[in-house]
Amino acid sequence: MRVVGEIDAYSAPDFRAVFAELTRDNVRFIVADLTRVDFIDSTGLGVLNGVRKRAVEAGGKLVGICTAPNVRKVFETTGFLQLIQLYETEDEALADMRGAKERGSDA
Amino acid sequence: MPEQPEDIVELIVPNERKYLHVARLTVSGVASRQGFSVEEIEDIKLAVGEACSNAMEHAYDARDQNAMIRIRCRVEPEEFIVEVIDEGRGFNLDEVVIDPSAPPATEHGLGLFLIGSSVDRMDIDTAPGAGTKVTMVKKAPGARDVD
Repeated sequence: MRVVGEIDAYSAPDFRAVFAELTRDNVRFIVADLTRVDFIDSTGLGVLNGVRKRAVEAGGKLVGICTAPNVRKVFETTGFLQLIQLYETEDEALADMRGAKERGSDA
Repeated sequence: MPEQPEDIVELIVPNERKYLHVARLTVSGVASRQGFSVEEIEDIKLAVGEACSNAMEHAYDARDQNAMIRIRCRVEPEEFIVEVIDEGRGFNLDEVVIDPSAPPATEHGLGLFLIGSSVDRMDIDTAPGAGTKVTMVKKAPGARDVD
């Protein structure tokens, strides 16, 4: 799932709707590509954490790909990095997902 | 030597979330003129966005068509000060727990925590029925070394 732009209180409802579709489609293992996200705030973190919770409840996992220092910093500052692992490359994220699927989710 | 007068830049936006981006962009534009680094400007953007989001979420009745949020930047030699002011319902500050040393255990209060960790000083002036003013202070580049 590729996310583009800013995730804030204005755009959050759109992201929630898209993520809700994934949940409806029983997608449990989600890689959120945030490489084209240049801003995230507490509302954005809340959206991602909601998706993560649902994925974990369904036996899945959510990880992210993130290269923007300011976006990563928000995850670090708030402790969300302990909940949502962020990778720098798609390969790393997908390798984590493959491992999680093989183990039947370790999130 | 006479003290350098402060510059004041003020933006007033309707109480609508579509203006969050405008508020962040305006403040970061003013901050960039004071010589802040990219990282510091991102901190300021985050803090201002969170303060505006909080005001838009809590200050007014959603049906209030005249509700406005005022964002005031004060550029001083030693400090960059941003005030986010609403004339909404206000709140009892004693009921809000702000611990700058650790993020809250739930998502509630995360915005205030992020403001506190992004600026050098934060102050909230509010009371039930009296509106809210959130003041955020970032020390100007160069002033940081003086401490």
